[in-house]
Amino acid sequence: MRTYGVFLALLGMLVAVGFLLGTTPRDAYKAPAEEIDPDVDGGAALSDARAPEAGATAPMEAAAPIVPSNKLRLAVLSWELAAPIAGMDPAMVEATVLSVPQGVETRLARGGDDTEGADLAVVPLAEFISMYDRLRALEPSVVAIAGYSHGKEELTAPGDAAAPKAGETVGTSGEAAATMLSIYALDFMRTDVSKVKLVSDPADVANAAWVTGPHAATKKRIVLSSADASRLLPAVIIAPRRTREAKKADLVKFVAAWFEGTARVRGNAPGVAKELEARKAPLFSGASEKPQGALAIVERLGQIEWTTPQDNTDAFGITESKVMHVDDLMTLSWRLLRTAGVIAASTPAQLPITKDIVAEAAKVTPPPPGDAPKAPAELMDDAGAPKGLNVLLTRRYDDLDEATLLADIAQTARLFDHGIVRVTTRGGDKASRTLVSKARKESLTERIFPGNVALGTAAAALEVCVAP
Amino acid sequence: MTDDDDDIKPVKKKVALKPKSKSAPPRFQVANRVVKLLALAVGAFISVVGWMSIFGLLIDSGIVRFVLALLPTIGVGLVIVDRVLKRFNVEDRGGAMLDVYAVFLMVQAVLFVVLGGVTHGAFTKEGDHYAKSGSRGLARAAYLLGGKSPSFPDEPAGGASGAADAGAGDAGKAAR
Repeated sequence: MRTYGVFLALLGMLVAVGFLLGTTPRDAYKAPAEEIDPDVDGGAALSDARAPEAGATAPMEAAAPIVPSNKLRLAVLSWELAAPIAGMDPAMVEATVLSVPQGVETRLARGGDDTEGADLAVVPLAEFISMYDRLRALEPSVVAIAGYSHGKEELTAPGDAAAPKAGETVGTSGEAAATMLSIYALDFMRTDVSKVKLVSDPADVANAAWVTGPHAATKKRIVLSSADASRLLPAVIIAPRRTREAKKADLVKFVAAWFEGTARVRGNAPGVAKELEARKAPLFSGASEKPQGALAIVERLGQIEWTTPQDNTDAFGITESKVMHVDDLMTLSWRLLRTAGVIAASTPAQLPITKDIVAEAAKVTPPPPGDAPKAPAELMDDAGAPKGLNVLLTRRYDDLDEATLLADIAQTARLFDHGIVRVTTRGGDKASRTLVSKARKESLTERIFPGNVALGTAAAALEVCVAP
Repeated sequence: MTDDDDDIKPVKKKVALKPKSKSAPPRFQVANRVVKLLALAVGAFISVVGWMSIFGLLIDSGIVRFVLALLPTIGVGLVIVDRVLKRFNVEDRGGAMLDVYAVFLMVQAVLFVVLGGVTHGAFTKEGDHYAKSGSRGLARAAYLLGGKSPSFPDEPAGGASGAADAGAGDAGKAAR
C-alpha cells in the first residue's frame, strides 16, 4: 500500500512541476555576458594574447577558443566597402556599416561577443594605421586586402601651383586615406612633409592651394588621384588577435566568402547597390547608418578595385610576384603618416599582418575570371617609346645613388600599376637607358622608360606619367 | 534518578507497518523505480538550485552557495528520513528511506515552483551567476525556474533551447 501511495504522490508532484514550468508565461530576458577569469580556461588565452613578445604569426594551437560562436560581427567603414557582404549567408555574418572610424574602433574594442561589438572590420589601410595605437591592446592585424581605392581620393591644386614648401598649408577632408594620398605626393616631390601644415577646418581648407579629399570636392586641377596611384590606398580586413585565434575557422570562411562576394559585385553592381540601400536584416544590423541612394552607391562602387584571392596571395608574398607587397605598403604609409604628424606611434617592429588567413581562404576560393592586364605595348608609339603622356609627379635627386634610384623606381612602378615611370639621369640618354634596363629586370615590368627632364643641378629625375 | 524511575519511564511504541501482503506486479515495479529515480533527480536539482538561489541573494561565491544548499537538501532530508524510520517499524528500510527522501525532495521542488512569485527574482539572479561563469545550461535552467526566456550576448535573440542541457561541465563551471 505504501509503495502505491508513494508512487502516486511522486508521479503527481512530477506532473505538477512539469505542468507549472511548461505553462508559466516567460518574459524575454537578456542574460549577462560571460566574465572571463584571467586565471583559468579561456582567460589564459586572453592573457597569452596580451603578451607583448607574441608576434602576429605566433603559434595558434596554444590558445583555446574562449566563447564558441559561428557568426562573426563585422564593422565596415562605408557602404561601398560592404558591397561584397550583400550576398553572404546571414548565419555567418552580421555587418554594421558606419561612417566614422571612431564607431569602428568602439565596436572592435567591445569585441564580437557583445551585440554592439565587432569581431573584425573593413577599413582603409590608412585608417587602420591611424587607429592602431588606440587598439594596440587588441593586437589587431591585417588579414586580407579587401580592395584598392580607385579614384575616390584626389589631390587638387590650382593649375600654376608649385609644390608646397615647408610651412605652407595643405587642406584635407580629414579622411586618413585622402591625407595619405597628399602626403605621398608631397613626399614624392621632395617636400618636407614634417613641415607642411595639414588643416581640416573648412575656412582653412578654402584658403589652401593644395587640397586633398573625396572626388569632386573641389574644382581645382587634379594633380593625383587614387585611380593613378592604384595600389597606394587599399582597404583591408582587420581582425583582433582573439578573433584570429578563437574564431579562425569562421574568419577563413568569411574571407573566402568575401572573395566570392567581390565577384558578385563585379557581375551585378546595380543589384548589389539596391540590396545595400535596402539594408536587409539580419545581414545588416539595425545599428547601421542609413546609406545614400542606390545611384550614389553605384558611383562609389566604381571607385573600388576589388581584389581576387590571387591579388591577395601576391600582395601578402605568399606567391612570388613583383606587385606591391602589403608589408612594404604598410611600412611606407606608417612612415609618411608619422613624419607628417598624423599619428603618434612609429612603425611597429613587427608589422600587424597575418598571412595564414588569406592563404587558407585562397585555397578554398576558385579564381574568378579576371580582366587581362593591359599590355604595355598599347601605350607605346611605333618606336617603342611612351606617347602623349601626362606627367603626374616628378622627383629630383641631388645625388645619383643607383641603389636608391632603382628601389624608388620599383616602388613607384608597383604603386602606379597602370602608369609609366620615366627616368632621366645626368649621363644623358645612354646612361638613362642603362638604368632603365636594370630597373626593368629588377621590377619585372616593361613600364619603365628613359625620360627627358631638364635636370639643371639635379643628378637624376623620376617621373610618374599616365596616358591621357 | 533511581531504578524505579526508570521503570516508570514511558516507552515509545513503535508502530509496525503492515508487511506487504503480496509483491507488486513487475511492470509496476519498473515504473515505480523510474518515477522514484526521476523524482530524486528532479527534486534534488530543483532543490539545490533553489537553495543556491536563495543563498545567492547574499553570497556570490558559487562553492559557498553550493555547500550551503546541500545542508537543507541532504542534511535536513537525512534527519527527516531518520526520524520517520525510527517512528515506523519498517522491514524494507532501504526502500522506505528512498521513498521518504524522494517525497521530501519533490515537496521542496514543488514549493520552489509554486512559490514562483517569491522565488523568481532569486532564480533570475542565480541564472545571472551561471551565465557570468559560462554555465549556459544551468543558467537556462535557473531562468526557466525564474520565469525568464534568456538570450545570450553571442547568440540571436530567442535562442533559448530549454533547460535540459545542463551538463556535468556546466556544474563544474558553476562551482567556480
